[in-house]
Amino acid sequence: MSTTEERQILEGILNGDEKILKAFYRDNMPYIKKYILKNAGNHEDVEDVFQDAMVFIYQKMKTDSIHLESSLRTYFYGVCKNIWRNRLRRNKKMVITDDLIDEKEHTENSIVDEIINKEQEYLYRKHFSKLGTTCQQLLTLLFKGKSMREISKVIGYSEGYTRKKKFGCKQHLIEMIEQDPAYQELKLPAKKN
Amino acid sequence: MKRTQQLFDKIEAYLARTLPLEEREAFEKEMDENPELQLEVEKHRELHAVFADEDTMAFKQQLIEISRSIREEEEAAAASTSKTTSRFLKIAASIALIIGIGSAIWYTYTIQDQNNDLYAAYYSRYPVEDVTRGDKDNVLKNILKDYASGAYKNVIDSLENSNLKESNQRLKIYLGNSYLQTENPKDAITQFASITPSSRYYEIAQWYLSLAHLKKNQPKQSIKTLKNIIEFNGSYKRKAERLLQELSE
Repeated sequence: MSTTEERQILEGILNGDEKILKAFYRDNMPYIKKYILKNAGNHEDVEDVFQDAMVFIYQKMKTDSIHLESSLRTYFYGVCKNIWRNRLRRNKKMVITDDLIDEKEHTENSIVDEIINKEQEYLYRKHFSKLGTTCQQLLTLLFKGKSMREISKVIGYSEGYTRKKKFGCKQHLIEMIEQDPAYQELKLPAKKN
Repeated sequence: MKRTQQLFDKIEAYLARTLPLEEREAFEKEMDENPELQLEVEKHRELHAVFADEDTMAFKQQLIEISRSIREEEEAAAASTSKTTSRFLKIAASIALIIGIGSAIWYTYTIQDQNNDLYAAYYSRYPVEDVTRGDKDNVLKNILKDYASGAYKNVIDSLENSNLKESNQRLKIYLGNSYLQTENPKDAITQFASITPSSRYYEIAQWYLSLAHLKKNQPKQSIKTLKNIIEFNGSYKRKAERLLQELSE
């Protein structure tokens, strides 16, 4: 793939281009799926790692672009493998050797540190997506800074009930996060970038 | 430390800096004296910081929908080996009816007919909204004009080849409807499913999503979406309840 094509894909990821995202998903998922299933992961881990790696690239493109020393595919695989390697290490699921990552996928230390620091975010978003639709909608509006009155108008409940529902949804989210073994390993408050 | 609604309200007001000065100072003093409270406030602060990033939230939601869409396509592809069999069965069904055997095959075909009938009964095209101030753009005006006149292929070409719909969720509704009108429920599903819960078009997208699943002969997914709409408790709740009842019969 040419550098121009790779740049177009990165731009497509940044812009949320549906066609480009879908093609990227299809092209790269088989390899990552095979890798994670072969290395003590399950299907949920495959989706989590793949999506978190894409979010990582999206956020990097938003802040300061990406310098590709090798191909985009190699870069992406490196990010996926570092995420997975970090999670295995935290869960102590298997002995980690450098064989887990190919030499050409070896990622700069600064990127590895960024991946580690973002684990808390990935954890939060993973559990948020498990909430029911109403909870997701309500909390999204809350985190956007909307008042209870504005939220209750959108959701269609009374203000009092909305406040109660908000408490229930947020408490549920916090508890799901706290009960995740990965959260215990991260030991919040997390380190900042 | 017990989590209560009042505690959460106070923490949120503190983080949003809407507490009056005296209350704020009192709360900070309480945090200094109570490490558990301090930790709880920090957890809320972290949550708010992560989820305030709307762009990343929307991107993650988009990935979840893409993953779901690809999984459905793969399941459909895996089931496609039965396509030849089902074509044969439809022919065999007519013969079987005459010779009086294979009533179970006919029953399956009837279910598909019923789904089509329900779709026809409940679907009506999303109306063209009046051009709003933000639509002074000629490109958008032409898209709405094409949609109003039934030139759905033009609508699809215009919206798929631009990023307009990413900044204007309403256009995804028009695009999804254009796909439904051109007998392409699969791509319609992708559009409706990509509208996030924070959008004001979310409920209506869910309604059209349930109909698109019906058109694609996926009653189970349609039922799941209808239950979402009912739980959402908005203006489509009654309609969803009626359709759900008919689907469940």
